Amino acid sequence: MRWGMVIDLAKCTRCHACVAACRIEHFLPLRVTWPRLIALETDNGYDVDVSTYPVRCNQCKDAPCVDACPTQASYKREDGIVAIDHDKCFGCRYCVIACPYQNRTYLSRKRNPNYFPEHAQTRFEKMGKKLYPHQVGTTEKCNFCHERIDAGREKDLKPGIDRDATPACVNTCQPRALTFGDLDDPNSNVSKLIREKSGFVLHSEYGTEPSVYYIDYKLGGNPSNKAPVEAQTGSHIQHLSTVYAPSKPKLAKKNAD
Amino acid sequence: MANREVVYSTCKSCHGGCGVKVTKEDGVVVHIEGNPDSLTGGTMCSKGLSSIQHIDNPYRLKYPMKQVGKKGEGKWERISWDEALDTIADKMKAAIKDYGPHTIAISQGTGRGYNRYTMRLARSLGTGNAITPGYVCHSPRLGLYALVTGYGRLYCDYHGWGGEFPKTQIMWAKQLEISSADSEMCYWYMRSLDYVKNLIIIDPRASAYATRANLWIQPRPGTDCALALGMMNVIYEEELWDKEFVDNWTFGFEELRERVKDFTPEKVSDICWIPKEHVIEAARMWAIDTPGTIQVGSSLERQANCGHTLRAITCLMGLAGNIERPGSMVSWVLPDTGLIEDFNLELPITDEMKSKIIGGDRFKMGATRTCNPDTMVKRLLAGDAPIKVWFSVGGQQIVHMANTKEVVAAIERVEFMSHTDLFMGPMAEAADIVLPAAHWLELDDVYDMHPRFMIEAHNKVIEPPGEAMSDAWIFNEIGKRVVPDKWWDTVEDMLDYQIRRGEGPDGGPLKWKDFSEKLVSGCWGPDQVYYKYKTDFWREGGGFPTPSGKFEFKSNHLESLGYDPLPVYAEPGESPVSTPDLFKEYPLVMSSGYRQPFYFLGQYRNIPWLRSFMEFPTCQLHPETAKLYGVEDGDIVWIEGPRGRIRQKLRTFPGIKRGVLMATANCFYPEEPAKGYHGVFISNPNVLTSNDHLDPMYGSPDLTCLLCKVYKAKDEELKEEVFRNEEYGFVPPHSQEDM
Amino acid sequence: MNARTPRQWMVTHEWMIKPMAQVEWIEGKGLLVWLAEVFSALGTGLYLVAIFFSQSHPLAAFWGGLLGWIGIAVFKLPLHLAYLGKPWRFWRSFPPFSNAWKTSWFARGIVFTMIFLGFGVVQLVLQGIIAYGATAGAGVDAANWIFMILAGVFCVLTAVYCGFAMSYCKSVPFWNTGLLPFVFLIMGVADGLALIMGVGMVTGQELIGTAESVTRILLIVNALLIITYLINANYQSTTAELSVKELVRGHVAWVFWLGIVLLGILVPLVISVVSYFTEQEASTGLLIFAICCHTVGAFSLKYGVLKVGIYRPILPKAHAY
Ligand code: SF4
Ligand code: SF4
Ligand code: SF4
Ligand code: SF4
Repeated sequence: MRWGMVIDLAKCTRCHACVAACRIEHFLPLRVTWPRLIALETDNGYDVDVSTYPVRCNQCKDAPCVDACPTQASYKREDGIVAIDHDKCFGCRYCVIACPYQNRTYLSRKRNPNYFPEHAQTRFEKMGKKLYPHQVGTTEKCNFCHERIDAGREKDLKPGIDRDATPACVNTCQPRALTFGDLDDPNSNVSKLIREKSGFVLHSEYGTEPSVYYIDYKLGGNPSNKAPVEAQTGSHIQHLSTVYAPSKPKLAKKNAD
Repeated sequence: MANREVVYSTCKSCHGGCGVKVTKEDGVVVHIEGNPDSLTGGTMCSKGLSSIQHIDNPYRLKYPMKQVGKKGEGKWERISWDEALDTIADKMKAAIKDYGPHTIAISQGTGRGYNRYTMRLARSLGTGNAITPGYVCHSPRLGLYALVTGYGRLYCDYHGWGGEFPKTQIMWAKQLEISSADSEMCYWYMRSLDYVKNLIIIDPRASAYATRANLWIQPRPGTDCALALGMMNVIYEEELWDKEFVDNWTFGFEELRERVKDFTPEKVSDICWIPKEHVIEAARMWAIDTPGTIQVGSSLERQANCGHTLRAITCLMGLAGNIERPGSMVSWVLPDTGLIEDFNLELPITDEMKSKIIGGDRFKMGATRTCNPDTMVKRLLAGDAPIKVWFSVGGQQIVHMANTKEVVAAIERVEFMSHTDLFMGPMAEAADIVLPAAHWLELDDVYDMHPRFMIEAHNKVIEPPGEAMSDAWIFNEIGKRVVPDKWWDTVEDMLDYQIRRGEGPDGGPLKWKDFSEKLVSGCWGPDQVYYKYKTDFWREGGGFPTPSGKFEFKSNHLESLGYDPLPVYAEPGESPVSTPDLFKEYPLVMSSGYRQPFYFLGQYRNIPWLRSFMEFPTCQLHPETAKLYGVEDGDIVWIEGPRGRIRQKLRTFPGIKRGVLMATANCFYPEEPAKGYHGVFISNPNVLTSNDHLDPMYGSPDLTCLLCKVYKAKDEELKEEVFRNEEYGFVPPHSQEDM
Repeated sequence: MNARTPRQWMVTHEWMIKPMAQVEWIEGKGLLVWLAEVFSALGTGLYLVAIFFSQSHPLAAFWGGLLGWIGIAVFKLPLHLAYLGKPWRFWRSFPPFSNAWKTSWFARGIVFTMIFLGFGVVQLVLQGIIAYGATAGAGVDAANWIFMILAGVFCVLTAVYCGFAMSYCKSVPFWNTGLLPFVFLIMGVADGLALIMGVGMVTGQELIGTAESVTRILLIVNALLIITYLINANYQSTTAELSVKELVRGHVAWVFWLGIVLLGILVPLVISVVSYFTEQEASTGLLIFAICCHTVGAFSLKYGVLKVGIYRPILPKAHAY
């Protein structure tokens, strides 16, 4: 099992929701962002390319950050996630420098002011200190929401399929540009996407074997606009519909009046 | 074990509608995420998620206050709710007695949740002078749809309920992908992209999907009408129209052919600064690959030819038969709770009220139910004081109206103004009394944004800060004090009333308590009805609810009002073509149509998480254009026009049309002092816009098409706090912490 | 473009699109890393040179070695620890608490340093006995030899590990080259030679001549090495090229030209070459001046190299990088 993410560059809208979701999920300090968006805006004279690359820790298979860490605070989990033990990390930032993808942030005091500097902490922040304490003086990064994955798997939920076992950023993405799943399973949603849409990783030449893949393609050109039955009936939302299920035919009539 | 509690609600951080799941622990909101069991599948954007920073936000207004200095000085004193409400009510009563109800203006912002309250308050008081941003956002669209189809609400059917998704989608000056604004929801739009054959983006600036769309057209700002006429020309020339629909259900087909005859692709290419192939390709895709939808953005409504632009676009829909087909432009069958706007429509606007509407004599399409704000500004400046009492809620007229200098001068002349808001902003500083409003996490209300196919419930998650109250409560209290027979004892009574037509669990009228648990009242899937014009839905025997019973390419009604019955193209008031001399001095076409996904109009610059994404209002220029004018990426530049100049940060961006400068609109700085109205003159593009040249139908000014020049700001010209503070990105604005 | 503007906020348009310089190891508290590395070079260099003179000039060798040892024990290590976010957890980096030394150069560095300090202290005691003791027997001499070799090996390792640590960073192409450890080592030895001359002046032992002649060669080797390094980096990748530009023409150019080239190499070289041709030993004042210059050079070299550590941008498609 190796958890991975596929990021759809064609769909991402640069909305920043993934960043906000991660901030909420992990009570991130004000100046720390685990996932980031990188704008690629080029014009080669023929073609303009305006893209957004959502980046977060690649959970590299051969992770230079883990090798670099002198305390073994950064370690690799069974499921491929690169995690940090914040009780071990002594804040040398060697990993920050060594990560070729720049996905680590050292939490200095300066990066950790109150959300409203010069004002009292909000209740959300205070609660965060309890629910998800961050240690100033240690290094942080995206952890693929392994808290969610672990909690979900305990309840027999499937990461990438069941929301409560899936990373927060994946859940919130409106165009569904983020897909999560098991890279080792050739039939998983992520493996399929990588195969069908020729997924690629950033800087494969570093040889770190990232678990975050990207896909890119042109929108449009879909062969059929026929709606599948679930879409037609709205089956997944039908139970939300018209408040206390009055007799349906009456409805259209009533509005026509 | 900590005490966990989950509350479901509905987001209103843009026009909203996304289902929200809020988790509280020991009474503190510790988590916000999308509600998976909702119409939006558990997704939310950064604005909605960052709502969490509205809670305990030290800059929130907490108590009613009165201005004790001069307007705009920022000297405030706390008062009680009773004093505040009584003062406002007394002023209103006195104005009604002394000058007549029309001298009261009720104004609102983009209208999230309080549309129906502002309108009901205005009508119950007897004034037609409601001030809304509608005339530069959404109203022209609705009015023109109504004119052409008889039904004012045409939506893009992204849902597949009729069996088909749109095959061709046009995003016209619109970034639906970044918010659920106006009338659609981004979630559904983006799902439908998996079925689209042609995605056409019409935007001078690359929005998120532009460079991956099938066709991306970059017209010169303000020339969209010509593009629509050109596309129709191609459809006529190549005989691509929908024969069945046109023959049976339309009126004025031949007259329209005559009108668009001149607009050959060559001519349109000259006007719009685009290759002629783009016009032809777009027309073919649109007319051949049906069904299709056109998503119109409000930038088109911020132009002084907006009436005809939207008319032309609506005709384009008709020519391709993209009306009422599954996967085309559809008007929704409403949920069983009915048209929520009946809440205000049930109070009729009398002829007497109509006759007193400011601008009503001139803008016969726009100023029939609400006043024309620009005319009001001119009259206030002329000294004939048409408005004595102004009750303002939410909106930042100072920011979004053309010609900021004049707007500020005019508003300062209003004898008495109150403003209701979450934070201190330019409008609050111009008021005599400010009332603290509750955020959507802090109130119970019916969520409705234009009649979509559903309404939803906002459920109170936590108590508002200090003494802040919900909009519904504030309106009801004012209403009760001035016209008690039109308002309710309690907010809950009022909410019950709004949804009474729904069916409750006991078979009786639906009550708020039950609705708030159920969250949604909607109509979708097989319950939606298509091809309404082929049934008795609108008209016995079929047809559209228009005077002719047909889809009207030509409108005799418009003619009777003194307008051209067919769409016509007109250049913007200031453009390379209409004012060539001015163009020599101001060689860039400027638009203020740039919106960021994490701000909603003037809002959220005081939410740290959102401000972190873009500290400064930013303008964009093509790298080559920037080079031409000697400015560089990252510079703070002056953008100067005939009426003034502003500073924004420059980003060179290859996705923008050469020769066009795209500025961020609606910007003020919450952290700047009250004096200067929170920095409204520093970066707000409306300092540059003109309120002299207005759309004849709607009175909309040219906010998104004007001329400017650009040059680098010198270091010594960047004295304001906002340019200096490096440490925090932004400094804490006015706070009530110590009050 | 300013490659080194540290952003407080996340800026979609700037972060890692443009090449950005690392700041963790050179700005703010990061300056401690720089100082630690400088003391590492000076300390190890001095110690190595000192044991080289162990036989011929035992007194200078003792004092030089001691000063080198102190540079490591009192400056380098504590500075490094002070830099840590959680200094009191320093023990987590070495066995038996961690096996990180298997992969981490940083962990290895700490282990090397500690071992060196251990062997070094023994060797210094022995050296002290030789230098001052009346009864320097063969046993002491032999022991000194053994410990000299042991300490020397770990001293070299201590001198090179930070170069390896940096060259391990694929993210910073300018550092990511095998030459770096050697530049650091050679430069350290040259610094050591300069310093030992100072020691020699105090202890009155005539080693200046020998030191001078070795310095002359080392300085030339070093200059060549640096030139090779820069040329190599210049062709290695666009980002490394940018680092080179930044170093020789950018914001830190003054450090490079003034600190590294002029004070670190040219001045000492000119002084020693002049003294070679005039066949006279340079005056004490001039020597002290040369030593100072040399030391400034040591500080400058590390500063410059750390400062222009520019990350390779993240997007492979971002053209030009
Ligand atoms: S939430 Fe999705 S669409 Fe938005 S920025 Fe993140 S990846 Fe892109
Ligand atoms: S992306 Fe960076 S931090 Fe993440 S595993 Fe790879 S090297 Fe480590
Ligand atoms: S900062 Fe922490 S996690 Fe990173 S290398 Fe140092 S000890 Fe390991
Ligand atoms: S996977 Fe989790 S930790 Fe990583 S960016 Fe997404 S939300 Fe943040």
